[in-house]
Amino acid sequence: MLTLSLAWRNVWRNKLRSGVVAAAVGIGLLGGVYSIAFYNGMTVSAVRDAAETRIGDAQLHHPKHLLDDDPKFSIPDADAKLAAIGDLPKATAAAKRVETTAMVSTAATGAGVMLVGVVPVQERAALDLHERIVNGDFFETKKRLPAVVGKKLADKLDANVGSKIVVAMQRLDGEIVYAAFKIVGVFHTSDSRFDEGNVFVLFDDLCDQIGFDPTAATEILCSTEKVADAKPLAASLRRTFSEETTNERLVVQYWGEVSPILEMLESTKDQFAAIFLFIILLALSFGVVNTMLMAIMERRRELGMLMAIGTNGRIVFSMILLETIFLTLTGSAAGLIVGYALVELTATTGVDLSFFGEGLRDAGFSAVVYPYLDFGYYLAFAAMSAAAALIASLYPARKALKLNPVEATRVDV
Amino acid sequence: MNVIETKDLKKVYDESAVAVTAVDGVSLSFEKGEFACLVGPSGCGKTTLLNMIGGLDEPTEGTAIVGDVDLSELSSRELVDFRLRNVGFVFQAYNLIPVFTARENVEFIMHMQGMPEKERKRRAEEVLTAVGLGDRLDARPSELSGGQQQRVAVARALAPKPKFIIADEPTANLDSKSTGALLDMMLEMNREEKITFLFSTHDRRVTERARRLVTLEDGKVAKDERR
Repeated sequence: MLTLSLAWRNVWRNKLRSGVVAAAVGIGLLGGVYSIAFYNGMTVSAVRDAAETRIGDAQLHHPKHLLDDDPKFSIPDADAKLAAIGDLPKATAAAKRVETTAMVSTAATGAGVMLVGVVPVQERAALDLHERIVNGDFFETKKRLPAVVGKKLADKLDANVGSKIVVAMQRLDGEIVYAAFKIVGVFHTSDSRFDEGNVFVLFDDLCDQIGFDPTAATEILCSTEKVADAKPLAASLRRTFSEETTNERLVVQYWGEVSPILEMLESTKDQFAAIFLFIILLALSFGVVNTMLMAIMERRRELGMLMAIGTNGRIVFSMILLETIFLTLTGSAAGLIVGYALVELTATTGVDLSFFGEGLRDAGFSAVVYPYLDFGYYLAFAAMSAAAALIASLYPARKALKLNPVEATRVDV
Repeated sequence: MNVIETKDLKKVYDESAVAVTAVDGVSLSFEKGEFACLVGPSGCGKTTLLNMIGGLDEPTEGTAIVGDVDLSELSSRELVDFRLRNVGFVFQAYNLIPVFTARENVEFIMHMQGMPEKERKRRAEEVLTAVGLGDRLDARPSELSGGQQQRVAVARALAPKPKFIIADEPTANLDSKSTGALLDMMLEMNREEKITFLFSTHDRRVTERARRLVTLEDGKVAKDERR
C-alpha cells in the first residue's frame, strides 16, 4: 500500500510535467476515440441508410438477373413468396419489384436510369424511401402513370412535381415503347448516385408497359427489425426456398452481398479502430518513456538511497512500473471519459458535414454523421492503454534498476 | 563481541587508465555499542571502507564480516536483504523521500521488512519522538529544517533496530546547534539501545565526541585510538 502511495505521489511530484504528459495522452486518446466513433457512425449510418432506404436487408433474385438487368430473368409466383416470407420470424416486411433499364427525357435533356416498378403499400412497409420525399408524395396522388424521381435526376432533367417525363423502354418481346409518366414525388437520400439513377413507377404500370407477368417479379426485398438480423434472415430465406436456390432458380443475398463495399466497411471497422488506436498509443508511449526517464535521472540520488537502504529490485521496478501506469492511465481515463461524453453528445445532435457538398453523398454517405461507439470499444481501448502503459514502463524501470546505489548517493550536494 | 570485522580489505578502482587504490589492506574490528569515527583527508578511503562494511560496495580483496556473515559470500540479492535487515544508513544529503511525511519516511523501510502496519506506525512514532520530532510526524521534508531532516534520516536508520548504523558525513550540512542536538541524540541511542555507530567525517564537532577514532591515510589505517 505504501509503495502504491509512493508511486502515485511521485507521479504528481512535478505537477506541470506530469499534467502535460497526461493531457497529451488524454487528448491523443480523445482524438482517437472520437475519430473512430465518427468513422463508425459513418459506416453504421451508411449501412442503415442502404438497408432501410435502398436495398433492404435481404434480396431475392433470379441468379442471372444479377449479371443481366433483363426482366426476363424473373422470380415466378412472387405473391406466394411474399406470403411465405411473411411467416418468417425475422422478416418484418417484404416488397416485390420489377426493374428494367430505360431512358428518361424531358425537353431539357435525357438520362439512362433503372426503372423500378413498386407496390407502394409493400414499399412503405419494407423501406423508408417514402420518408425521403422532399416534394410531392410517394404515389398518394392518383394520377395516370405516376413516377417518383430522385432530386438529382429531377434537377438534371429540369423537372419537378407535375412535370412529364418521357420514358423509353424495351418490352420483353424486344419492341421499344415510349410512355409519358408524370412526376408525383421527388426523393432525396444520402446517396446521390441512387437519386440520379432510379425512377420509381407503379408495379402494374410497368408490367403493362413492358409486357411483364404481374404474378412474377425481378426482385423481392425483405426487411428485418435490425440490420444485424439480415444474415439470419437470409439464411432462413435460403431454407424456405431451398428447392429453388438449390436448382439455381433463385438467389438470396443479404445487404453485405448486395453491396460488398458496405460489407467491407462494416467488417473492417474494428481492425481500423485497433490499428488507429495502436498508432496513437505507440506515439504517446514514447512521450511517456521520455518523461519517466527524465524523472528517473532527476531522482537518481533518491532511488540510489532506496536501493542502498535495502529496497530490492522488485520493489524499485514495481514502483517505476506503477508510476508509468498511473501517469498513462490518468491521461487515458480522462481521454476516454471526455471522449465518451463527446460521442454521446454528438450521437444525438449529429455532426453536419454538408459543407463538404455532394462529395459524401456521391460516396453513399449521409451529410450528417452520428458518431457511435459501443461501450465495449471503451473497455477495449482502456485495456490497450493499460498494455501500452505496461510496455512503456519497462525500459524506464529497467534503467532505474541499473542505477548503482554507491554512485547515486555520492552525488554532490 | 565483534559486530564488524574486516580482514585485509582492499578496493582498487581500475575503470580509468590509472588504477586507484582507495582502500589498501584494512583490518579492523568494531564491538557492539561502539561510537567510532573514520577520519582523514578527502580521498583517503573513508566512504569506500564504510560502503564495503555496509555491503554497498564489493572489495577487490579481503573480507568484511558482520556478525557471523562473510559479506563476500553473499550474492547481490542477498546483499540487498542484508542491508535491509542489518544496516542503518545516514547520508550527508539526508536523502529523504520528498513526497512522504516524516512518519512515512521512517515507516518505509519497516514496510519493506514486512512489519505489520500497526506495529511499524507505532515504532515510527516512537523513534521520531525519541529524536525530538514527535510533533512533526506529518511534516514533509520540505517543511523541515536541515537538522530536522537529518534527525528523520537517523530515525529512519534506527527504527528497524539494525546491527549498526553507518553515517557518512551526517553533519556536513548542519549548523552548530543542529549538529550538537543530533550528536546528543545519537549518543543517547548508542548508550540506551547499544547500537553501534560508524561515522565518516571531517567534522571536529563529531570527532571530539567519538569514543574511537580511526585515521586513514592513502587507504591505510594510520592511527586507531580509543578514548
